[in-house]
Amino acid sequence: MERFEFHVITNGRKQPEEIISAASILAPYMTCIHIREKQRNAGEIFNLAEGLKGAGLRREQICVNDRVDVAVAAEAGAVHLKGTSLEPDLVSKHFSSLRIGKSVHSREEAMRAEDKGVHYLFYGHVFHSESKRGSEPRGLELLRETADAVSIPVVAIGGVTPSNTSWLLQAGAKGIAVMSGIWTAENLDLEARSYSEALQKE
Amino acid sequence: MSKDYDVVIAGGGIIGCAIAYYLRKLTDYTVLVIEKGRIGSEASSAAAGMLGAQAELNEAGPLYTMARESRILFPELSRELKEICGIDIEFIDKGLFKTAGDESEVLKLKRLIDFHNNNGQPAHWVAGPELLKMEPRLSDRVAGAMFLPKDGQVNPVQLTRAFAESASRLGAVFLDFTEVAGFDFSQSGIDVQTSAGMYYGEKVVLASGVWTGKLAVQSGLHMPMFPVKGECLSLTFLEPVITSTVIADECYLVPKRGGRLVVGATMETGSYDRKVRAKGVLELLSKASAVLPGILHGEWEKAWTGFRPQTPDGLPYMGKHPCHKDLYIAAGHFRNGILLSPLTGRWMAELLEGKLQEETLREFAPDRFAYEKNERMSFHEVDC
Repeated sequence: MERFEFHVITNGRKQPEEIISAASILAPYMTCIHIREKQRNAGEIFNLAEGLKGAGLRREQICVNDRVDVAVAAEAGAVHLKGTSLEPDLVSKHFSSLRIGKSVHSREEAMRAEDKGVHYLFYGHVFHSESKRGSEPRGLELLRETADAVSIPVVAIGGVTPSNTSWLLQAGAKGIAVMSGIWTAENLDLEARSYSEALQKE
Repeated sequence: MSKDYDVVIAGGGIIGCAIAYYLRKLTDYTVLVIEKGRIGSEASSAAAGMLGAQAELNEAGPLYTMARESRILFPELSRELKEICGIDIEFIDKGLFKTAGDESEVLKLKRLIDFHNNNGQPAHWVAGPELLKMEPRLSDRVAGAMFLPKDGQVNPVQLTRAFAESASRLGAVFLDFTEVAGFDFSQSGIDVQTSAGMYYGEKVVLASGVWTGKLAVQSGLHMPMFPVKGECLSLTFLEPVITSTVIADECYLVPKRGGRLVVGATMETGSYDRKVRAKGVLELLSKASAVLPGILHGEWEKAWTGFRPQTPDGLPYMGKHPCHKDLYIAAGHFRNGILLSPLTGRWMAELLEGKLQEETLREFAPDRFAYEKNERMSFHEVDC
């Protein structure tokens, strides 16, 4: 059986206490949590990363969005880059211990990212999602094309639910990334469990 | 010193010591308490010792009920411990004020008063002028307060010592500066690996505060816990500045013997940092002086930190391990460890003896987040 990745992304609307508390429940289920808090400054993101370690997360389970400096300072395991971040080859040259991820929206972008030394990709949004309202989802076919074109893991994002997870894996995704699905859950433990069970079925 | 015990308790804080005490008081079990530092040296001695069964808990639920039942035990316990070991836990039942600064807080507190009264608990409103007659040094900007006559306080350091000392006089053995490293589970009983060699317990209780989560993982149990760091400080006065405990917006003031006043406490989730920050002291003093301006004339005594053991749903873990029948857990009491210690100790002693109805602890089950991870990051229900 393959080992699929389960990424959880913060939504920028929770207090650090809530994120840390939730992460302590999610710890055994998830590959990593992405600190994606655009409204927070470097110091706040650093404190949050420290707090997550306090809740029992391993360094590999902490991924800082965009801010390579904070990822390094907090000894996080990964950094997730966006279009306006430092280039991946620059990051891996200077910080070889970081796992580097990047969000891409096309097959070509994915191939370029792989060439630049990115370790995994987010591809999406695959389905309709709360956070990308109004824009057309890319769908399973384009996900398959992208996943086929690269050898690094492609993680599907956008509208992922426990019930559509198996389609994503069949289309070649090596994992899923979830935001709304987790933060709006009434019972976080149950929700995380259904995602991880869905990831096992394939 | 014997290596074999009926019960080995990992953790010599308020909870571990209370369990040891009740075990020796209520049963014939031989008891060993293993503590990695000094007895009661972490959160137990950082606490202010408020018995805020109503002040700290203001929604209906298992904790509200438990807190009230535990509070009832203090008067008798205070006499009992003094008799056994001579230590005075400085139990005071002069009640507690929760103050309101503005109209919206007044409304909130009045709703709380209704809530407590509806649950059969005393609570009443004390208007500003009347409050100043009872506590004349409070600021005249305080609009009034909710008075909770049954919420008292103790000296938490003395209480932990008294539990430990009394348990010891009744035959429990204490091993301090010894760290529990892991467990070997056999058919019956558990071998406990420690930094001072191997000990054996017919039954083992994990009562290691915020560090219990890490011990539980070694038994295959995911029991999420995290620290909420708190900073406190104390001042001394020639004569007491207040007689009752006062809780204001994000700070509390607890009068202690000898003109001491404890001011607490900041909250920082996820931090294991033991430093007292200037920022924390500034925050506490400015909030506290808003209700009691005179505190700024007190003499500085000291400041300290502690790590409240918190759980994701705010309820402690108390009960049996889902797989290992001889392993028990009592941890995660957050801000309420001192208040909940007597009933936790009694319940756990009864549980170990097989005399407690399982129903009592249902909501506190240690395996309520318990799914274990195997090597492949896949998950299955803990297999018993």
